Amino acid sequence: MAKTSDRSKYLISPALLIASFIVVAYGYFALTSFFPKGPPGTQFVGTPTLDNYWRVLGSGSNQAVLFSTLGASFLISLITIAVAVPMAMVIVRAKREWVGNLIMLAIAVTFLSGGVTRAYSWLILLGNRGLINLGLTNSGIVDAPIRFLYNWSGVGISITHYLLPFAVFTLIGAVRNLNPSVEEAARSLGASRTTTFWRITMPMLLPGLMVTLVLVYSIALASFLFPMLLGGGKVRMIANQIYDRMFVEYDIPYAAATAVVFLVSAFASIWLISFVAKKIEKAVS
Amino acid sequence: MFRRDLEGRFGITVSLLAAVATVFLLLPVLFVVLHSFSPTRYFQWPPQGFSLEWHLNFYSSSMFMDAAKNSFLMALIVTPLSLVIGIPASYALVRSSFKGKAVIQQIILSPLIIPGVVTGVSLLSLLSAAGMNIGLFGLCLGMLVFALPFAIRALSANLLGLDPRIEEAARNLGAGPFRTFFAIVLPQLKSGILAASVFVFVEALDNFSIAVFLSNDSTKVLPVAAYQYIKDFDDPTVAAMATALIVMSIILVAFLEKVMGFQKSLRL
Amino acid sequence: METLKSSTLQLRQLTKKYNNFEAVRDLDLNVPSGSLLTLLGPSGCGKSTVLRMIAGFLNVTSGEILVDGKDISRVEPNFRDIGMVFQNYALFPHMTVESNVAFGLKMRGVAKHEQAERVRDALAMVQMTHLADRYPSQLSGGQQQRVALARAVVIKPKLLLLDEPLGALDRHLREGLQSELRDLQRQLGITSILVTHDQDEALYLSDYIAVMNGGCIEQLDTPIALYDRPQTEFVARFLGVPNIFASTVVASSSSEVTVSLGGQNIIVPTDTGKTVGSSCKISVRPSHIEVARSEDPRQGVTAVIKSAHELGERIVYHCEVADLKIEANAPRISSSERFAVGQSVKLVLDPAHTVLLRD
Ligand SMILES: Nc1ncnc2c1ncn2[C@@H]1O[C@H](COP(=O)(O)OP(=O)(O)OP(=O)(O)O)[C@@H](O)[C@H]1O
Ligand SMILES: [Mg+2]
Repeated sequence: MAKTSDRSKYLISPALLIASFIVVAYGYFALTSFFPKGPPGTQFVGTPTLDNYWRVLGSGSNQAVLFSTLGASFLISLITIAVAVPMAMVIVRAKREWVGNLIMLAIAVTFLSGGVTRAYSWLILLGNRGLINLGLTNSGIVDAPIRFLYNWSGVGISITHYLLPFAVFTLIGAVRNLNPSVEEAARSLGASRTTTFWRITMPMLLPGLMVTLVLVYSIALASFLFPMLLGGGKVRMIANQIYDRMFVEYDIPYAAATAVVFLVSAFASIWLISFVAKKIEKAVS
Repeated sequence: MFRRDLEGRFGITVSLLAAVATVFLLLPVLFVVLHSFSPTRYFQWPPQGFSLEWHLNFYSSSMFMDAAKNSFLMALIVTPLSLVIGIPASYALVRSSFKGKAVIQQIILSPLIIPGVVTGVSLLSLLSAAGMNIGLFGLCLGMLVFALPFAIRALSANLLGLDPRIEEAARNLGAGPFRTFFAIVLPQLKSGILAASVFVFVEALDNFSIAVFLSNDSTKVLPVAAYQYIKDFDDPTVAAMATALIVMSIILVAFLEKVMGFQKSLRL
Repeated sequence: METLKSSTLQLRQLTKKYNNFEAVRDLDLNVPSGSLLTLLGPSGCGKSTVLRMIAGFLNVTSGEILVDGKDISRVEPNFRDIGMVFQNYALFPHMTVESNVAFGLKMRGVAKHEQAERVRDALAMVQMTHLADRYPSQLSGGQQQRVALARAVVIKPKLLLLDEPLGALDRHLREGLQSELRDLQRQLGITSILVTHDQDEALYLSDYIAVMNGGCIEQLDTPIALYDRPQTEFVARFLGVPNIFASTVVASSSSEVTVSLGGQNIIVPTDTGKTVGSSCKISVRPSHIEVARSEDPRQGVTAVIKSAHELGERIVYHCEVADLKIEANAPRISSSERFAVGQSVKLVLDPAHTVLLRD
């Protein structure tokens, strides 16, 4: 018998079309990784092989790129969260509401202005004669300009900046959900504000922090434009490697194998982080 | 609301950190606007004057203008499409249960967690293997695949907050399924639709990792054009483009604020 | 407002299975025209399931739902002409009070001027005329409830379904609205089914009460009959009868049985004979047990008072005989005799309200 609740499932159909397209696209690409590279104009030829995977996993420089992508993304995510926590606290709890609104406004405008805009701006800001170095040398903090570009520092700064709105948006919800009377109880029992923050607020915030960490980490892993522009070929993350194999070496199977290895290690590391996060949450509570 | 804990030395420390973070956040945005009015090709401090040269350069460059046209055309195709597909899909995902729902949902949302480069390269490889001339169609298809999850996420969040009994009440009072959808569900989805449109539109304009694979010389979009320009030239024309995008996002935020409060619409 | 041409509702062998779990089993029920029947029962017994099947939001697994003799169990909900007041009201948040109430009329293609008139009448009926332009979020709980009621009855439905309509309100407001609801239902003469958790509400509002248990109806009766003479142990316990005694049948005739309570014989009227020696259960409310001096000549159970408390309108005695604990109440008025703890008394059970429970 047909009832609305039974019939409404068919509303999924158009999206199902898209979903099957996605499956075919990812599936076909993964399949490609098991074949040798074909002559120009074709994607692959011959019989199935694992050669592409040996090339990806066997080379030290490939391993270095993989591990630096994972490690740097993790570190950048931690820094991002450290920057985001005070912002979220102030947005939710500032006594004057306009303060919070102002920060939200700054985040919204930055967020909507896009990645290309920000990558370009950092490129100019962080140059040897850019605003940052000018400020640092003129004020006498450093003698010679710091090199930010074409190494991890500039890439890290720009990715942190890109991640910050995501982190703050997610943390706001977590801070809002804190039950303030627990903190008040701690205060009434004699804890200082700082002690209360570290001993009570942060542990209660932990699940929210972990969710944010996983979200921000997975966005960081996918970084492509920032290392491309600010890394100047010296800093390469896996996304850049895949791009190069596609468009510089025209080796689609090699690119595909790199992508598969990337995905597997990305999911494995995300899983590991969530797993450790759960352990920590258990230990704390 | 509990606000007392931002007092004292601790409160000042937290506020100070937040202030520094906000400066960090705004610095590139403010700087790029300033830089776009620079009279010199390279950054100089203090500014040596004021010039519209780079803005004129941007708006008279046929490459940038063609790219802008392509970008907006693509965003204007992809945004309504992702609503037309996303609204019914979210409704089905939230309101009904069927075999394989979880799997389908995972697949549709997978471009959110699979890096854009992988999605872009997969789509390119499939479309070219199928012998397709990528063109505007391929670009829009790719962007739709990539942006649809943003729409579905925003819409589902909105739908999850709606009481299904309200729809039952409408059925009970004599409205058929379609009537109920258009008269009762859709008006309540206003904020979700708005948020979805903004996310998809901004993502379509800004996305680089998909576009770099799926756009070619005739369908070049703004981010790709900007990237190539930065590689080849060393002047603030891209800052003028950035300024245009920032002005657009300010207008967007003002519009959201007017319609529903931007804070509400930007929940991720 | 004019009274409606009211309908009858009959459920025949109504069954609902969720996967393999039978939430409602072979339910038969007749609701006479114009009356209000309450489904009462513990959480999870299937009340909402029955109501939602009648409204058409759940498919029936088997059985029939007859309105005026016609089976509607396969009709889409929007064609059923059944008004419903939802728990938490389910008002349309994006419409004013007036548009909410007009919605059903609009769906029925009622002419504009008639719509306006009927909406006005319905709002007047629930005293909400002055708030017609407000949105639901600007109303208190009680006001929302009135709008929900107006919206359900303005379409002149054949039946009115009420799913815990007062459940979300505080007690004081609840009591006020109960009497309004009752007056309105009587005045409109609309056949209604109410679902509630609240016994007092059920006893106050209903013409009939059906006590449900595990997807079946345990007892269907008028409120007074149900209160005084619960027929099964489940119903007695659910309605809060503290005195439920296990006993054995000593003698049996066509109109009464004699049972043994704490070693003393008591006569309980019944029309279902029992074999001598079989075990049985007896239920009697504390207010139907009179506490008398031990030398009282009437038939009764002699017991010792273990505690005595004066509580509000009653004096509550806990008594004991052999292993049996019996609670008895006396009105807390000056003329009632006070008995002390340790005193031996005779407990006289009112035969009309002492029930031999069905097994
Ligand atoms: N969609 C469902 N799938 C499986 N079982 C269900 C479903 N809906 C209800 N049930 C089960 O059916 C039984 C009856 O549910 P119903 O909601 O009718 O109870 P109820 O009497 O209204 O309870 P309450 O007083 O708590 O509202 C319950 O045991 C419930 O767990
Ligand atoms: Mg229920």
